[in-house]
Amino acid sequence: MPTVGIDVGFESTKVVILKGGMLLAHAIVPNGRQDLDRVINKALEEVIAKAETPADCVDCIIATGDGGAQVTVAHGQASEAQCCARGSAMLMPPAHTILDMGAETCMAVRTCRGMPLNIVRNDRCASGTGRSLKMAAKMLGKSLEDMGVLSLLSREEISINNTCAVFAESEIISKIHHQYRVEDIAKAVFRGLARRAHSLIVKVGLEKDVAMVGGLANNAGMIRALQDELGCQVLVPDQPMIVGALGAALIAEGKTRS
Amino acid sequence: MVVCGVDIGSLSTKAVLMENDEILAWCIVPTGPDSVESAERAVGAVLGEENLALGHIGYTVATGYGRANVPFADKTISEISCHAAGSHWTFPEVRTILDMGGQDCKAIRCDENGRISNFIMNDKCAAGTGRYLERVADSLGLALDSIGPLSMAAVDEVLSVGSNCVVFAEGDIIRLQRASKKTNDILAGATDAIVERIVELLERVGVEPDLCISGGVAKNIGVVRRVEQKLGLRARIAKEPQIMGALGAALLAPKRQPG
Repeated sequence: MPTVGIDVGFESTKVVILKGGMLLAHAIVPNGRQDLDRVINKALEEVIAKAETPADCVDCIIATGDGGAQVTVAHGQASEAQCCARGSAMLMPPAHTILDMGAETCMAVRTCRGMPLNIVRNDRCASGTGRSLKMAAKMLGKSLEDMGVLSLLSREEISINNTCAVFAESEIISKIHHQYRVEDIAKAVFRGLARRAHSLIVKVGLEKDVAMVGGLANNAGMIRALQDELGCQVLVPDQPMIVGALGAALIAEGKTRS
Repeated sequence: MVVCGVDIGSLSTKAVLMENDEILAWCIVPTGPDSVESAERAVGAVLGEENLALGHIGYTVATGYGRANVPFADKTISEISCHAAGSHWTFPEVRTILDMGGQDCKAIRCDENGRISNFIMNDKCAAGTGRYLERVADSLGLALDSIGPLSMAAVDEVLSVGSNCVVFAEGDIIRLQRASKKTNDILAGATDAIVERIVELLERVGVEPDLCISGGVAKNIGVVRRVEQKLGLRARIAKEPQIMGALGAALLAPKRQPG
């Protein structure tokens, strides 16, 4: 019988449906400004339709993420770190250090056989998260994706000194005013995020391989900056945003067996 | 002798012109991308008011985060010293000073002579600075000068907004909006949050009355009243609380007094 994992993040809700350890379908729905219950239902309906499975066949639903507690249909909750470790173990078995960078998350998890051993996350400061990157992209007038690509064309090393994303905005404006190139500013922003991520990874203890999941793992500039900062390769799955939901669905599968 | 104090802040540049023990003129102009130009504009404005030229100024002291960039300044002095001097001259009974600008927040303790005994300054994190209030106003679609009075309205539901990080606070506001919470209740929660941080900062330097509140935040009645309530005292606020740094800079000009 199929199981479902729902990861309610800050910016989007991710749903995965699994059967016998095989991924049947997934859905990613932006949260926008609407009521989260509606987003959750929409995402669930979408994934059930894609999987061509009757809704009443679903055996167990596990929710996770920032708004996981709001999923009323869930049979249980799992922590983001548990789901991240579990999903990564399925998609990238050699990975032992996972970095999860989402809209409001910057979390490093050291794992062993799909279980979190050590977790460090940013609780008090948004530097190193997708939201702070988005603020920088807005200042540069670029999409996140374009900003990533542009950063790969940087020729001059400059640095953004403010850790605080809000103060960094003013620093970026001043850099633009002083006619620094967009490519170089973009690179400096990604380097700042990578430094922050590195400091979290050092705290959990880096054990190879390193993998990155979450929305920022889709960004070429972020991956390059992280690899430069860590001095090693970083594994990225095909669908880095759904790793948490996949982990939740795997945990749900485990529950139905026991 | 005419002396001038210029305070180049992140958002606004302030200039004060003094002669002997009297303020001749003052002004507040927005800080542009070029801080030298902003300083020239502010000083030009106060001189214009008094029909004076740059040559009439005997001594200029610059302060604020852009203080190093004032070509006509004779001296630069830290904001902490200038704020203490300005507040103490305005209110001699003041022993504790809270100054919150657009990008920083300072808590200063001084003695009866205005000498600084302790201070704490935050300019690394936007939470606990005027920027927090600006972003809260933006997120709620309200004008910055309207949020003080609005935050004083009666609350239907006590809501919690994070005080540690501006970006996370904006996230909290979005979550509350998704849950269809009332704008006024969200605003009250956000104002409570920044006040919590302000009081924390003040308690770290130790509060001794009188307390003077200066900087842009002193114009937010919601913040001022909450701070007063938490500390159980009345705050002293100058008629123009944003010029305390520039005033202090003018007061600290070494050759201010004739002879």
